[in-house]
Amino acid sequence: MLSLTQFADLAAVLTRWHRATIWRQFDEAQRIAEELIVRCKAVVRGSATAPLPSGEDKNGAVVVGILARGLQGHADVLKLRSSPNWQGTPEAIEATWQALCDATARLDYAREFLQHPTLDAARRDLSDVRNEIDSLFGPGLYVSPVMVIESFLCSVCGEDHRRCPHMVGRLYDGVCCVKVATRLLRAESVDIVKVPEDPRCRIWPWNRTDEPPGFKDVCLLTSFRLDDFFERSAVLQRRLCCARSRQRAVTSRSRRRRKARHV
Amino acid sequence: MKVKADFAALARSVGKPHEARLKQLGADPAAVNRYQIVCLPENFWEAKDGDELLEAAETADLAKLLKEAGIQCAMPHEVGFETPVVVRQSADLWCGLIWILDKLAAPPFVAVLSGWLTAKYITTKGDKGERCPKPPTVHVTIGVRKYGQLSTFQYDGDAESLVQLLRGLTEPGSDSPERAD
Repeated sequence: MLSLTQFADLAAVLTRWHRATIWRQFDEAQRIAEELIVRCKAVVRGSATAPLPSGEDKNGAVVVGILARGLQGHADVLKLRSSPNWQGTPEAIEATWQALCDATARLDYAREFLQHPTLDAARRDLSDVRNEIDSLFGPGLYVSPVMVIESFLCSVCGEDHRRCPHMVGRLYDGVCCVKVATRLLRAESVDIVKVPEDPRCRIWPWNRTDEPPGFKDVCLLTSFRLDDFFERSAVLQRRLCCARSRQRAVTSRSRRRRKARHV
Repeated sequence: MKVKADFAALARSVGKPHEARLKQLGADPAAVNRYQIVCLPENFWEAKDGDELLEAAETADLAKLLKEAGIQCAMPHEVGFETPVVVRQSADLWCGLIWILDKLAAPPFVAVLSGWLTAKYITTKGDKGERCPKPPTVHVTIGVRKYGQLSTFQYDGDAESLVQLLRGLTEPGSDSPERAD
């Protein structure tokens, strides 16, 4: 399912990255991760080696790419945290939190496939930062919108996810299967929860207001994807374009109807 | 003879309200009975008609895993329900309504569900070192066919207890579900 033959030096790269973070050379750590991402993209696109990479090679490259992006995010978090008075402004806290959530999600995904002491250490660092933020602001409350959508599209084949054989989170020929929501039919409610699907939608103390609903300027939805540094698959892109143009057509039709009724 | 046959039909429909409900919503009960496990829209009993039905976001993921494990499992669209999907951005799992129609499918169902919940829980929560206010809740309604009738229970609780509960139900010697008809 997964081959890392294209990344024989991965352990050495990880060690180099870890050493850079220990010495607080965050720019160097980010550069090392960026180099790894460039190599991953080359394998996924098939431009890295003379014989075309197999599906397993591409899957391996996606996992390493997600890992590298997670390590880059990890360096971002440590860099933000190392700045003086990083807890002083809401913007700095929110930026750190976003980077922390992204890096955590990517590292957790990569750790399902790869094992290395560097990854465990990186994950511990992120947990420490999270615990630090939680000790300042508590475990937090989060917003959780409830929506009704027409269907989910599969990121691998672009079909309705219920009708295709692809499983969420698995890799297929260099594409990580995710469900992409299409056509929002209606928004049901916005719940406040303690355990969110997306921790990025956190209600911070500065978001609270006395007027209902009790908070403002809170992120309701994010467009985060583990592998969002790779281009979207062409099939999905086409499907999403179709869905959007269909929606535009429906909107303009209803506008025309309203106009006709008005006349 | 004719009167007898009518009584039998009446008795069958009284004893099987789920079949009557399937017919009411436009699905074919005979098609449903061909499967070992059927995943259905979460508001199967509450919806006024077929247009109001809603499928839980996680139903398809679970159904695919069950199929992969070799269980003859049907998703809502395979038994005639074309439904939109309700998405809740919470860590809780909403699995909708699941009918276990064949006792042979019960142990693998529990194994698949257990593995899925464990994987989901680990990936959702990440490192054990993090503080976790409370574990995510699993919301599911499970119907088990016994002696031709469907006994249903609704579960809203933690994943571990659900798996233990289901293991108890499907252990050999317990009052386990059966293949009816």
